[in-house]
Order: sequence, then C-alpha cells, then structure tokens
Amino acid sequence: MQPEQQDPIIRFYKPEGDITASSAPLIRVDLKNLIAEGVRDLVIDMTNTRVIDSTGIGLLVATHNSLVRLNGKLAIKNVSQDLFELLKAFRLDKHFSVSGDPRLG
Amino acid sequence: MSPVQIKTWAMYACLENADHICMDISAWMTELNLSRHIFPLELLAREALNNAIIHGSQMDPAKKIYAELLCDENILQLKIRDEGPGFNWRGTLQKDMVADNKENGRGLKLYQLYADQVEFNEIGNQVILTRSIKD
Repeated sequence: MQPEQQDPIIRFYKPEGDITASSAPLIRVDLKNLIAEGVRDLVIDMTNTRVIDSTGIGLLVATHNSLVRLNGKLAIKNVSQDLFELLKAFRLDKHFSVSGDPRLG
Repeated sequence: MSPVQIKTWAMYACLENADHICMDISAWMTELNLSRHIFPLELLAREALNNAIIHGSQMDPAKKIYAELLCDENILQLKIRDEGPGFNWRGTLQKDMVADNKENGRGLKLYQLYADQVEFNEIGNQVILTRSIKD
C-alpha cells in the first residue's frame, strides 16, 4: 500500500516586535522548534515588526535555508513599505515571498 | 529647528542598552518633526551599536560605547565609538554584496544603503554615518 501523501504542515508565526540582535536569539529558538515539530511551510507575520537589522535578516535567511533543505518554504507577510524596500535591497524577495501590509495598499 | 542640535549617550556594551538608545533616537526624531527619517536612522544606529557591542567590545559589559547624534537642517550625523582595537574597515567596505543565502555579512552594506557618507577613524573603532535630510 502506498503511504498517503500528507500536506506539509503550515504554521503562522507573529513576532511580538522588532527582529534585532537583542530579540533574535529567542525568535531563533521559536523558529527552530517549529521546524523541529515538522512545520515545512512557515509564514512569518510582520504586523508588529517595525525594524529588522542585519542579525534579523540573517535569521530570516537561516530559516529559509533550513526550510529549503527540508523541501519546505518561507513566506513573509504584512511587511511595512520600509521593510519591503530593505528586504528587496538584499534581494530576499527573489528567494521567498515577501508581501506588504494590505492596509498600505 | 535651531541650527545644530546634538545629543550624546554613554552606555555599557550590552544589546539591551542599544535598544534604549534607539528608542531615544526615535522619540527625539519625532520631537524634531523628522519622523520620516526614523526608520533609516534607527537602522543605522542599531547596526553601528550592534557592531560596537558584538565585534568592537566582544560583548564585554564592562566596556563602554559612546554615541552622538547631530541634527541640523541639512543632515543627520551619527557617531559611534567603542573601546575595542578596531578592524580592517577598508577591506570590508570594498567587498561585494554578500551572497543572498549567506546568514551574515550585511552590516556594513546596510550602512552604505542608508547613509550618504560612511567614515571610520584610522583604526576602525569609530564610525560616522551621515544622512542628508534636505529635500
């Protein structure tokens, strides 16, 4: 009997604030735990996130790399215009989906 | 706004202190009616403070970091100095954009993206980031 094809586990994660050198270690633990639990499609909701520094960008790249190795994918949603431009400047929008806050039009 | 305004901070090298300075900068920009510059300035301040704390001070909480923000009608200028030995900033600034899938190495590129001028002292333990605010 063929094993049933299961849908990858999709999970939404919403940081409580900015993703910076001071907050990244705890967020990294959360994201690692989600992947360890079997999450393969991860959506990070940036509604509460105003600033992402280079440590935070590194964390997003690390999470993307981990998910890709497991045939999963990362998406970032509800980013502000400033954050969208920052992530685009580092070409991260070419590697995973980055979408803006719909309230900004 | 009066011609030149300057604010200074001295802090021990820990990341929580960097958060406090960034909040202070954000509040001051709002007070000066420069809210549209909060994001780039806060990002520059975070990167420079992170570098001073993590690399310059090796996260040693006994070491001090000195920050100064100057505002006039044309520019915002941020000066951050640590007590570390400095680094080879010339070589690092000349490097190409980091590979997309690399997890670190974007800090100085971020300076170049959001500051109009990036200057280091000779040994590299002080950075001055200048951003034009003239429309």
